[in-house]
Amino acid sequence: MSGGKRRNLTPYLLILPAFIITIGILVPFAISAYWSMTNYSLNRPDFHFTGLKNYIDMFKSRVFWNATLVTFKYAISAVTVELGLGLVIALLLNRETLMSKILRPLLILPLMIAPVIGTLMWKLMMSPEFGVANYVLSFFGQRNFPWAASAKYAMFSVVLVDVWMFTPFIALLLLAGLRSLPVPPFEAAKVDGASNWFVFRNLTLPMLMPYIFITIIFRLVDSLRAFDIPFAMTKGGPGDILMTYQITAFNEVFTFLNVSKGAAYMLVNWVLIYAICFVLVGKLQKWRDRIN
Amino acid sequence: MVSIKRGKNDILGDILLGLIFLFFMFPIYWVFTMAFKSDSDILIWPPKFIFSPTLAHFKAILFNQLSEQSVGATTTVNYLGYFKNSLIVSISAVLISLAVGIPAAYAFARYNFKGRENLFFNFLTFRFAPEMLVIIPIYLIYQRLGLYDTYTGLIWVYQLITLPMIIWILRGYFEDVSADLEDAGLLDGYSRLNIAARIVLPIVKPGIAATSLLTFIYAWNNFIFGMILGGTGVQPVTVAALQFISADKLRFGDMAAASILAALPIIILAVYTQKYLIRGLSLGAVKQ
Amino acid sequence: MGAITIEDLTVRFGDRKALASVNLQIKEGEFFVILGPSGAGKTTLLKTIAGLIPPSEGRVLFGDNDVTGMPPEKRNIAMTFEQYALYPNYSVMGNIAHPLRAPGSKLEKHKVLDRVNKISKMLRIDHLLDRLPRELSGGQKQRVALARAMVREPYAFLLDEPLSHVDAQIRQQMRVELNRLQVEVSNTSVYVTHDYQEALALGDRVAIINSGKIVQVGTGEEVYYHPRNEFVARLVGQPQINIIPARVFNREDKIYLDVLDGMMQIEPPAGIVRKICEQEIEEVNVGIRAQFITLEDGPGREGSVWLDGKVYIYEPFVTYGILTVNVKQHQLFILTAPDGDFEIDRPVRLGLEISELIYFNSITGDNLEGTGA
Repeated sequence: MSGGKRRNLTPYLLILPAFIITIGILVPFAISAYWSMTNYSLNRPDFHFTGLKNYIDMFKSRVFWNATLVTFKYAISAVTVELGLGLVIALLLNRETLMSKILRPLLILPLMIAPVIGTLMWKLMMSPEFGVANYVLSFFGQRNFPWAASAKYAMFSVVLVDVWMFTPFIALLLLAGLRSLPVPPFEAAKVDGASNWFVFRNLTLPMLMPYIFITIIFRLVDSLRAFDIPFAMTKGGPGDILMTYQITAFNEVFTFLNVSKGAAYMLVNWVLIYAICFVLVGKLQKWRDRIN
Repeated sequence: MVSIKRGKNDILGDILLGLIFLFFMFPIYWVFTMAFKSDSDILIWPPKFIFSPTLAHFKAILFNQLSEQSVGATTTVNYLGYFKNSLIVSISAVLISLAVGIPAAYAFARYNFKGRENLFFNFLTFRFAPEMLVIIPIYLIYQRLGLYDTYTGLIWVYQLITLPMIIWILRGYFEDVSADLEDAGLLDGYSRLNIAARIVLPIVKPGIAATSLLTFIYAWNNFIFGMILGGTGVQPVTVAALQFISADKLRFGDMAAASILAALPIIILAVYTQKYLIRGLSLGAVKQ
Repeated sequence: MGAITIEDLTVRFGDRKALASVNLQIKEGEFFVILGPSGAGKTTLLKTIAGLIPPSEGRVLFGDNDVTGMPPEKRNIAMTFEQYALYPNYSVMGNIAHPLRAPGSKLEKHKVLDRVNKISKMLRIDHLLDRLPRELSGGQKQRVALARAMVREPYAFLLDEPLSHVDAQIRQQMRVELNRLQVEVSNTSVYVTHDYQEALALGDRVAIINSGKIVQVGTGEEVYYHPRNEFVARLVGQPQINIIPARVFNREDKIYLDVLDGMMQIEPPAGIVRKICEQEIEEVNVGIRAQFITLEDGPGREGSVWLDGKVYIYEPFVTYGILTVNVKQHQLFILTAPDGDFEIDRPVRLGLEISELIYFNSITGDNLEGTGA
């Protein structure tokens, strides 16, 4: 077996360069984990190990629970609306009408705009004095709607931007899913004279479930790390209304120079994302097994 | 699915679809027109739909000159410079990711080795990690190593976005190439890597092109890395665009022009290649 | 060019054994067919010979050389793949010349061209040399794949289901050509198929494989007339062999078989009787091919026994007919003349040629005649 041994090494050699580059990212990852268990602050030249103190402090603090609430409120409302709207769009675009054919290629546009830029665009429209958004609302009797400037509507405003930005992503993936479904069951249902609702409920939706799970996983992972949109909108304000985990951590480090606390926030955030992913991927596998 | 007749439902559906698309397309249209409006046309109530277009905002941004129309402007932003930064960082990041990612993706697709799936999954978890988690230490390390506010530093950290995507998507493309082709090549007397380069790579070339494009878009659109790890020297256009807010509250037209300029290259790329992008968007989870 | 010996070859994929202790001896210049249902391990066996799949146990020898650990690119084996495996980015010319341009082959340029031209003329694809694979029909792709294999002078040809994806008409023609090529090239060839007609038409010898094990090796005639067991009997032949259960009984110190609960009694030949006694068998499955059943009017002829049944359906195939008859809960196929006229449910009497009966152990399925060793 002269060639055998050499061939076994080949895959590792091929992966090695990519691995070296990611080591450069893995190491900071580990450093973060370590710092989260120290009292490292940029104000102080030296620091030492403090165990879980940061975490205990954090779990006792109002700031942490606010960040948790904000993050999940943001993620869940955005993903729910996007999924519902995305499904409607995908179903509508899956028809072979002239309108669908014309609109299909446009769908990708909002997705290609940087979240920061997209938020900026919405800010321009949401300007209380000159914004076109309030002009539209004025037809419904609303004038001077405060949008993100008010504590009451800030969350609504950023979720709206998120929905605008990422619903097309969900719609596109679901549309791709719809188009990859096998045709015979639908033909059989048509021959049997099943109603549209019946077909949707008992054929389309179950078969689409794996795709729905994939989109949920992708969007949830992204929105649980929300930074760009709320940051570009109000930098987390007014007050702490839009302080997600990442913005809170950003403030801890770059405003209060509290490196260890920021690291602790991020580690909690990461563990949450990882755990949620893990559960959803398991569910996805179950749906896939059910269909195959 | 075949639609047999155009009934009332189709018309209702079309109307609904049109309304939904109005919501998605209007902001792009509106900001686009805003970029061509004079400030007096912008700062007016009710908003104007008909106006005489001007290039003043683009001039102001691109040639770093303050138009008289930019009410109360005090700072200038070297927008073209940021544009160049975005290009350098995004293109280099994608090229490096391709150079190390293609061999890795091929190995994951074709070799059966110990720890393959674990290793592979680890590359994905980078995409799941909140950016701040790595930025905090990298920020401090970079300052010490002199990598802060350098292209090298930014390009390296961009690998966090580009490399996992490239490995994940390309693995799928490589797996789609029939293993028989490689077996046939081996029996013809070629080495495996020779075949990979001469037969497999040309076959997946369109996939590589689409994937590069998509990762380029993601790199271009990134904000947080450039904001924290880049100073004024290497900051990308996404960060620069945000400066218009803090600089002057009322430079609406410049902001609009800046937004359009930042988004335009990507939009053009995307429209031309969109049918290849969908698979990439889902990291290959949806094959089309 | 030469012999291939396979010794105790086992291939495991995880816990599953794709091949279990396979032993084969393929002679120099032989056209050797491996026949089996899908999933039996045919392709795995071929790829193991080629060196594409490393065996878990056992050896592969080319002549006297142990090549078990030799990488595929060094083995000088030509193989065609079920899905052709043509390089989509190369023209037909580039595909056929590919093995000749490999780093190890030091053939001069004009000689490469000569060889490609000669082989493509032989396979009548010389007018297609500039085309890309995607511009070819299935049959043309198959020829290009064959040409790519034949352009070299390999130690052996391995052919994986070469005809399974071409249309029925082309298949017949390609089979004839393969047969002819075999005579012209006379190289050692291992041919994998699931179609028994191909196997019988092409093979000098046929190995029948099932669930990773070789069941029988023999000439076409041997596997057809003397199947090792029920599996082989069913795999080879169209319509499928009739198999009916019988019980062993003893009358006046003589062994008889009672077929279908008293519908018919058979006195098996002495060799079978001996086996029945030795193995203390109580039940036997009796097999008879469709062409050895005749329709009788009165009592059967000398040397035949008969069964009474009812016509289930008659299928005329222009040059012959197949009559399906229900005898109790069993269905028998009978080969008839093409112009039969059989009403459904009409009673018929079937005469069975007693010398053509094959007796199987009903538990193990083995042929009691004990073919081979």
